[in-house]
Formats: sequence, structure tokens, C-alpha cells
Amino acid sequence: MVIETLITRERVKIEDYLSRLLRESSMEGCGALVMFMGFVKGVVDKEEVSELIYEAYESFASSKMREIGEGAAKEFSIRDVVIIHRIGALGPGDPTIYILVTSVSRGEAFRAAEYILERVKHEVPISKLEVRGDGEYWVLGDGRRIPRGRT
Amino acid sequence: MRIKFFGMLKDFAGVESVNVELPSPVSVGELLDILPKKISWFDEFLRMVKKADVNVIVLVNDRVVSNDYLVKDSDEITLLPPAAGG
Repeated sequence: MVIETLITRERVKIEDYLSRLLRESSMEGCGALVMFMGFVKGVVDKEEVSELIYEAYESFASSKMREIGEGAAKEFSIRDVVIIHRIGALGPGDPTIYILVTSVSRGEAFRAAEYILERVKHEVPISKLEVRGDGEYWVLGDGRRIPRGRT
Repeated sequence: MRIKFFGMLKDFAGVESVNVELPSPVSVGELLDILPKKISWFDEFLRMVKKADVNVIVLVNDRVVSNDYLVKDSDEITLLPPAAGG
């Protein structure tokens, strides 16, 4: 079983994770891998987005991601969990988060991936600042946008 | 006591951190009520938080604690906005 979490400024070679999980989990009877990948929108509210800048409160964020991965492993019949969140300035189309789950069958893997994503979005202290044509906005987990600066 | 701000709260505060003296321990629940008496701009900070309609999460030494946890002058406080990952 693999429970791996990572917060990184670097590009992620996701193929390496995929091939490793497929190889290892298949030998333990798994036949399903669900991957969720979030990526930066290029247009929001009809405004062009140039950057989405992610910042993590890293010490707490890392332990929270680990806790979520372990929680998923207890809650669902799955084998592996990988959660990778990128931080720094990302452009439209750049991946922001990867969630990989393997299991014997697809149902548990789909459910676990959604559980992990929702918990990451609502519990891991990560901020995102959207830089777009009409200004800069802090983006909240519920999709609300707060203009940057002291208002 | 050092108070650190993260994300949009750093914008609202206009600083990354601030030091305040805390002669006697106060509970986490009381902390945000007491800070305006210690920091001249904290009322304005709280006004912006209210206007943005966001919850402030308080960490003590990088841990979530209960509202009745007593904060000491030697503790480090972090104020976080709601999570927005993904």
C-alpha cells in the first residue's frame, strides 16, 4: 500500500507515478486506477486569466494532506493514494492537483477520489490568487472571489 | 507573542506578522476580541474580514486547538483564511 502526499513547485512527471502504481497494485489484485487532475482555467467570468498563484502554509498543509490520505485508506477499500498539489505561479492549462487512487474495483476508487478532493479543497491551508484582465482576486473554496488588497 | 497572517489575511493586515505582548494567558476564543486593544489596526483588519465574509482559522504553534485553549506569550499564532486548494 502506498500513501504518498506532496506539495511541490516543480512540474510533476505523473507518468512515473502511474506506471509504478499500475505495476505494483496489479500484483495485488487491483484493476482500477482513478486519477483526478485539476488545472488552471484560462477564462473566468469572461475575463482572461494569466496566472493562478498558489501558496501553501506548508507545515500544516503537509500534515493535513497526509491525514486525508490516511483517512481515505481507512474509509474505503482501496490500495494506494497519491495526492500531489502544486504551488507557485501556474498558467492556464497547468495541472494544479493530482489525486490517484487504486483499488480492486472502480466504485471504491471513484468514491475515494471524490472524498479526498473535497477534503483537500476544504481543509488544506492553500490560498490561490487569480490574476486576470480585470484585476487580482483571492479565490475561495466555494468559488467566491475577493478582490485583492485592503478594501 | 508572534501572530502570523496567511493568504488574503496577509493582504488585509498589510504585514506578514506582528509581535504583541500578552501579560496573562487568554483563551483562543477571546483572542480576536483582545487583539484590537493591542494592535491599532486590528479593528480595521477585522472589518475587512467581516466584509469578505470569511472564517478565520486560528492555529497555535501550527496546531488546531479548542476555543478554550489558553494562549501564552511564548506561543506562535497563525491566522488562516478558509482553505482554497484544488
